[in-house]
Amino acid sequence: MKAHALVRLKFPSEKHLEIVFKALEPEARTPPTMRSQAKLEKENTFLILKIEAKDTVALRAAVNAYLRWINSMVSVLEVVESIP
Amino acid sequence: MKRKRTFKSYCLGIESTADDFSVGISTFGGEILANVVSAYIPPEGGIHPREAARHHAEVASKVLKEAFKKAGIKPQNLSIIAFSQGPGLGPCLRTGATVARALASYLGIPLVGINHCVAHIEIGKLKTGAKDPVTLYVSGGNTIVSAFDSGRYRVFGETLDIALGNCLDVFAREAGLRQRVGEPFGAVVEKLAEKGKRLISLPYTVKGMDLSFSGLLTSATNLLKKGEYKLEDLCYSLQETVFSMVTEVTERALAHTEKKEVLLTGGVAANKRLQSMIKTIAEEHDAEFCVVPSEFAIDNGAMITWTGILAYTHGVATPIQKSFVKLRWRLEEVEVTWVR
Repeated sequence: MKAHALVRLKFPSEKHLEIVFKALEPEARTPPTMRSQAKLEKENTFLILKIEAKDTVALRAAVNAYLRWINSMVSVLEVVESIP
Repeated sequence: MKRKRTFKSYCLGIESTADDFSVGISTFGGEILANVVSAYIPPEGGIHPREAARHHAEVASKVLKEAFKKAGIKPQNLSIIAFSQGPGLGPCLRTGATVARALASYLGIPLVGINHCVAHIEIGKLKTGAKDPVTLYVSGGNTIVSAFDSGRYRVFGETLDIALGNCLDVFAREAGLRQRVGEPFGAVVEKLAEKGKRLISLPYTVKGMDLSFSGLLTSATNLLKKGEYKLEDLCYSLQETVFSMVTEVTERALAHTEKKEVLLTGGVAANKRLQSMIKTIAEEHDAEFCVVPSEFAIDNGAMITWTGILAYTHGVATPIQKSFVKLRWRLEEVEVTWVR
């Protein structure tokens, strides 16, 4: 049974959204396995992540991976912005 | 945003191919200003790629902050971002790659994808002053004897199965030994081997110029389980056998190429017994023996930084949209445009 997830994430600005979107694009275009596929979209300051997977196990793995990447990028950008 | 490149230009490099997440910062002149490493140590067993990637994502911002603090520069001073593009563990590489892309994009500066194996050679050359060596690169993931010829680092010999460092790590785990921060399994085995006296016969597998360690590992592990030999003697015998194998192949590459330098690099380069064996063959061939300092022997961001500078100043850049990670990127696939 195929499993789907749709995640909407709000970013503080369009610039931040564009940076994260560009950084994730190569990963979405080359998924590590055939068990899941991701599509990325932008809507105002929202990142829309659509994931389709072979089963719920693969879906959870893919969602976790994307959220982890996004989280580490946001933290890194916060560090860069905090250095005067 | 274009910045003028001078010796006071800076590069930030991110290394994340396996269990280490590291950020290095250096000047275009080769001065390493920061080299911060955070190692993932699994509670038990070997490296689980997903768990290592989770570690990298968690520590990325902390490591980056510390690197900027040590280097004493601002993000806006950076001219390029380099990252390890492969070879390595997929989830780990992807974590480093996404962070590197975000940084390059935020700062509006070029991104440079670097081959991890090339970086180990280049940092060795920078730190030892070697110009054109035969290189023995030995670590937990790679065992390669190489030398530069016609625009690339050519592979003269390599492992056919597991890496030498992996062989030592797995044996140490089977023996119930523990690694700690700053003391990897290789160092634990080395300490025990120093107390060993009896040389136990183990399979010695050199096929042409290539090597095989898996049968040797099985044999050593079986002897360990039988309990007939002291652990110190097994560690000593294991080290003597695997190091003799790589030394033989390195010596043949040295004799064939007639190069005048031998460079020992990678995590296992810190082993004093291996250093003494390679030094012996170097002297017998009138070649200079060079070994990378331990800080730069393990996986580190500084080596990515320095190789990024070499590549970028010789026309290499990686557009973000084409910066896919390359899990099986071989050493000889890289055009080394900066070496003449």
